[in-house]
Amino acid sequence: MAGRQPGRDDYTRWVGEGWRQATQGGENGTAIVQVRAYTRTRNGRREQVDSYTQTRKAALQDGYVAAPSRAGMSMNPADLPPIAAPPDRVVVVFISGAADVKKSRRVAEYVQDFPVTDWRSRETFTWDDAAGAEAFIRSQPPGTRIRLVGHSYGGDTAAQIAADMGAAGSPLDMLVTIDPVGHGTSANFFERVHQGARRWINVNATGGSSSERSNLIAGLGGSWDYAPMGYADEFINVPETHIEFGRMMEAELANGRSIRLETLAR
Amino acid sequence: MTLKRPWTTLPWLAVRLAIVSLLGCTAISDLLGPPPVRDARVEAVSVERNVSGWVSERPMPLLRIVLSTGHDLISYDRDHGSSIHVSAHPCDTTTPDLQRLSGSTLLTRDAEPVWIGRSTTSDAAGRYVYHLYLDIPSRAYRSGNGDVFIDHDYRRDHSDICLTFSGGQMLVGTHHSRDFRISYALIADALARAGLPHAAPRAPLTSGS
Repeated sequence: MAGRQPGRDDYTRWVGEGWRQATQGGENGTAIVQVRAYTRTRNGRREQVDSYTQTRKAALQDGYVAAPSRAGMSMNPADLPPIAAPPDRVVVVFISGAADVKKSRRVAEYVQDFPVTDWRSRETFTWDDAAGAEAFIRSQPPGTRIRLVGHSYGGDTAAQIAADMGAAGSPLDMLVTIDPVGHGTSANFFERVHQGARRWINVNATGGSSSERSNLIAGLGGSWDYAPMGYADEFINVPETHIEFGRMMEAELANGRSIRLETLAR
Repeated sequence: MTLKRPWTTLPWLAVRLAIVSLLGCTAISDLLGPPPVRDARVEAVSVERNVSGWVSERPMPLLRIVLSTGHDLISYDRDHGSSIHVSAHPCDTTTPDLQRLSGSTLLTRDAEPVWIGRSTTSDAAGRYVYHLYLDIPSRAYRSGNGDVFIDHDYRRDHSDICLTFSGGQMLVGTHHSRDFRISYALIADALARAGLPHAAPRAPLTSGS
């Protein structure tokens, strides 16, 4: 579904080299990762990312260090082979819904406080940037566990990405669809989504009336309601309205843990 | 030839219609949306170590901002169906909407986000107290929604910090408060009390990651 973006291969090689340095260490156990400036496209917009240097030893002592450097890049990544990620690296990718960008910002703000560690990172994409999100996921080093969380229209986008990843033989570690919305669902589609993630958790918001503002919008957009039942590994009803992304992430699963804790787990 | 009544011309009519429409939309949005939080006040600034709960797993001590407002923000969130967040940016930045610092979730005294909102109480003066935690060194980060987070370290970047309450609903109704300024003197004092080293100021940085 997603076309590869210009510069994506270079970016992947740079990240791979960064991981090689970070995991092998350098003089006195300190690993220095230098990334040169590059241009990327996210959510349909071109962005200039400045060069920066990251020191792993200092990061462990001081939280992190991300000192900008204009000195350029000291490595030549073009000839490097693919580098595998550390076995416990987790990337949580959030995909927000249509009303999230300028209105509720439930997902966007939630992600800001989503904990990041030296082994867990996070990324956010909008519901209409499936290509960007999928390209990002495919660019991760082999072995990276991808947990994809989508809300509303973003849930539909996340499911499409999962289906693509499954078809490519690279299923996600976890797919979480929070009250997904979208048309064009079918048994065949849900089966492909099921194959696209080792674990698929679907939340159906059942709180409030159908005329409640967010429920009304979800209904007009094509709420999935009970359609994923039988395909998702875990299908839970949560008595919240459609907008309450954060509360639905706190919903308790059969193992007694919340969805949020499951996405955070090492 | 000059017109005696230029406001009767078609372009002028179009301008008036546009103004009326704009005012109408604003009024409707205000009517349907929640009122902005205008009375927030900074009560205290401190450095906290080993913070548990929602903001746990942060590798460094955090800057805790204690705020109070006459609004019950849990009811605000639940009854209005409107999100409420706090964004922080250096007051001297030229594009505050695009240069944000970490942290946005307001926590109750029980350290739970207001959107979970199990309980809340006001003090004798009718004010509700909330906490906001900020990373002391924050990493440059770009969110998919266009926000650009800047490299910032309170130990080295000595600008005042401005907080803004904002949020909205899914269809109509957004709110956006004025800025609430936190003097850097308060932050420096909190850092000193916590024994965190103070560095010489540096020029603002805006690099991405």
